[in-house]
Amino acid sequence: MREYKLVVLGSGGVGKSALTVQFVQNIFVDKYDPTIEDSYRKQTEIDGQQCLLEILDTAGTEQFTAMRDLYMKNGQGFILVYSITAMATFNDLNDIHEQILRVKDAETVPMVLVGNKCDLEDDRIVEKEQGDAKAKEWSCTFMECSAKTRYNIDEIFDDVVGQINLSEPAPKTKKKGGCALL
Amino acid sequence: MAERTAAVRGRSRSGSLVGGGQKIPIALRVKTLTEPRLLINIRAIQKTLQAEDEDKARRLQREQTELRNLKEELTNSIKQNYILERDNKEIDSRIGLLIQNRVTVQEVIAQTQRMASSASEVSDAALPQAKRELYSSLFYLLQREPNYLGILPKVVKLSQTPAFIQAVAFTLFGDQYSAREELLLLSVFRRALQEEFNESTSMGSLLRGNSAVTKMIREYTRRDPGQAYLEKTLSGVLEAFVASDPESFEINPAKVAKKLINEEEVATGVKSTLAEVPEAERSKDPRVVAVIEPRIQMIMAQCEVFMKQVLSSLEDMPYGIRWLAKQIAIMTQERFPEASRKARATMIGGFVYLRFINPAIVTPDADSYKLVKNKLTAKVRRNLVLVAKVLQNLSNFILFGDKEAYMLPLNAFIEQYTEPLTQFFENLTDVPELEEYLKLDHQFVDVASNQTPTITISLNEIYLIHALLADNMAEVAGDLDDPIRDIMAKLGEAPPQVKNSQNEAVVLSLVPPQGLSYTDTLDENAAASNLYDETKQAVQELLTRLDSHAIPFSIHHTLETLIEAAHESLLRAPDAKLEALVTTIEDKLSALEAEGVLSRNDSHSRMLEDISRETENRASFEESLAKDRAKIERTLERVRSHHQFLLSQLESYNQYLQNVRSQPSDAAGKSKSKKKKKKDKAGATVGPFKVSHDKLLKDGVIAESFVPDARRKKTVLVFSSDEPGVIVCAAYFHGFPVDRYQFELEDLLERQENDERVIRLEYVVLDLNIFLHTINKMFGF
Repeated sequence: MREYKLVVLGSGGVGKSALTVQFVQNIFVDKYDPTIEDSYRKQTEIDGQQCLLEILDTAGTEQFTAMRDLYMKNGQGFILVYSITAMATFNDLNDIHEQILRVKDAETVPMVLVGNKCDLEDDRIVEKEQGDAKAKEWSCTFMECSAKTRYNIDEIFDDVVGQINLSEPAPKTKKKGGCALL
Repeated sequence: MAERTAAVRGRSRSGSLVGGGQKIPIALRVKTLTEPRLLINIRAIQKTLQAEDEDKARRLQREQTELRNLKEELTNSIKQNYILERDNKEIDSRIGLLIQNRVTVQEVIAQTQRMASSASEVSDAALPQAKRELYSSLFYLLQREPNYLGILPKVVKLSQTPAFIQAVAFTLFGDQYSAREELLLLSVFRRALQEEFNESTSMGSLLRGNSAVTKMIREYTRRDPGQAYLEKTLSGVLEAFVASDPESFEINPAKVAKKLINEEEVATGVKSTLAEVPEAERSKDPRVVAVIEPRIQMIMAQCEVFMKQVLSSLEDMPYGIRWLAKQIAIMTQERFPEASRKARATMIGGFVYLRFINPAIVTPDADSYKLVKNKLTAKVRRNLVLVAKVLQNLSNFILFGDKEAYMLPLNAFIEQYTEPLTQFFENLTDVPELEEYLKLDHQFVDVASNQTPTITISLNEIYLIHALLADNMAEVAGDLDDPIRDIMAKLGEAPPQVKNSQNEAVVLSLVPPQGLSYTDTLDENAAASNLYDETKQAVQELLTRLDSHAIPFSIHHTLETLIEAAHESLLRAPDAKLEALVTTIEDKLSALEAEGVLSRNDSHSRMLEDISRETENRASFEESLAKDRAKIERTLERVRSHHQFLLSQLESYNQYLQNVRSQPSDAAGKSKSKKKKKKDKAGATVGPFKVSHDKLLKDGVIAESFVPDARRKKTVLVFSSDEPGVIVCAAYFHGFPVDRYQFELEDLLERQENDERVIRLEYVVLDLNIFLHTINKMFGF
């Protein structure tokens, strides 16, 4: 079974943990509980293949940013999350994106830009078009989602895994059950 | 403090006035009843003073001066480091652009050179005199009235935040050892915090994101006292932890199992049976459990080590941080009166623990902390992360849940320490008010407080603050008579931000606006306290010079009776020096009375009391002087070594850039197609490229056009470049040149970084991003 290392990044309070926990455990947590670093594993079927996702949920609190370099080195796919109710969280992603490219020393990296909390339409500050434009600029995928309603949650992970498969096809393996994308 | 004493004095006076009429030290006598400690023994004072030879007095004087100089040096070094750090960050991000092929190595190098030079450049001609004076008054007001600046953090845009913080925390209130600036900076924070609280709807969201306020507070906690606290509290235990090189604390069953399988298979050459166990059941496998259980104990033991350090660090916690914690507690109480004790403590924990202590535990090797000498190994870091996760949940008083089930056993530790930590957070907030505290602490001495204060500030900082104020005048100064409105009106519109290359630093003296009688006591206090010190010194000299027989024995001496004794002594034996001294004292005393510092009603009792106390404490004064000095020297050493580190970082950036330059095909020219164009750049003109107005409009380069419809068809723009990064655009109508613009790529990128979307020219508005795309394509930048 192929393993995928995914990293969830973004400012404090945008719902990185909520989104991850919703995906992995089908629960919505809305408690104030800043993360330092949580890791999850989930086995799932994507593109007809069984995959094992190892998801690293990271600290949004800026004081912990010194740890980002490491996550970025180890991660294969990145989920960049902002909250559609706070422009600052959207802008904060520029630095993160730039850092990923630098650490990876590449022009594109498997990545999904995610506007969370889209259930809070009344409080919307970041327009969908802005997310779209940013994703075009970065040549990555863009989705809005809601960790609360589980809207688009699976799609995010499907997409980033799909991107990893395209960018680094699974090594040819003689073992049975290996990803046969090649 | 002074106010309270005065109040007590006033009350006692009216309550127990005895004997009136004659010239007796009423207040002093009343005070001796309530505070017998202050019985003044002039003989004893004289003895001490006279026993001191002049050398010693001079030495003390010299030491005080040296201490003051050290503090000044410290403040300057800290500012320098901040600027250097910011420059390094900037170069770092430029290198990022370089890697993405968005700028050339030459451009980055040019910028680097400008930075190094701009750090020391101070120009007097950058601002015209009239504007300069207005800004002097503006910043004078801003520096002394925290309400103006306190409103700005909530309106400042993200891209402006670093500049704003630099301006506030380092330029305006950069003197970390000045009581005055500390007081004002903290007041700005209080106001800014208040704004966040006012706008918050739930406690959960409060101070949670990364706003300008939280960034400002971060800068504050990272100033020197905060760093000193972290070193004292955590360095020792962290170094010990790293040195002991404990085995892995990993308790994530998936990871533990994987490691077991690998080890087993490598050792035996046979497939592990654990590999057959489904993932979900591995956490219950006895082989995994046997590994995890002792590790849980190890994590708890290490948590305990850190927690004990933290819980016993109350007295070391910098005053400013405690005071901010207190403000947060007060505001929480006001805004959310129904919040539980624990919930209030959580708010304090979210600030002191989450943002200050815990990051240092997880990344003690980060350049900004350097609490341990060497970089951490991955294993040690993961161990610290596991420990920090427990402490983090503890500080939030949240038990681990199903999120990561393997953390559940650690709830025992959280439960055990919940009450002690709640208590600690509450104790943190038990600090005196600002004004009171800053007067008492030796750390804060106003350096050269009788001079006009000056700030060294960059043009862009001035313009940024100007623009922020102008855009938010209604909130900054609701009152139409507010003096700041007059200055802002005279200043007019805020000039736009200038390019880095033109962003000079200027020195502004802070002077009150003309014709404004601003009744703020801060400056006057500073001046008066200098006068007070001078007078005190003169009185001490008088006591040293006066023969002890010249002063009649009495426990009721006042300055008046002393001066009288001096006059009598002068009658008996004229002494020009003594006479001059007496005159000086009398003059200064009148001045102090005029200032309201001393009062004849209580026979200037405060000064004699002070002298008495100081003489008594001569030994401890010397000691505290030495202690202060040692503290500052330690700090200075740390600041200097950080400076060295920053310089070496800068050096390695430069090295990198030089390397890239010498092998252009390698790092900078990553994308193959760039190579040929790189060569063009080194050479002469690229272009010209002719593009019609309508094509540019169609492609979206021109977002809006004011060229009359009839003329558009015949309008052509010609782009060319004969210098890397510089593009000339000439507009032709019917083949006749009508307009000409020059663009610099770097300037365009800077605008882009600053969230600008368009460039406005006389006849057209260009869409910045599409324009960049187009010129990138044309010139291969």
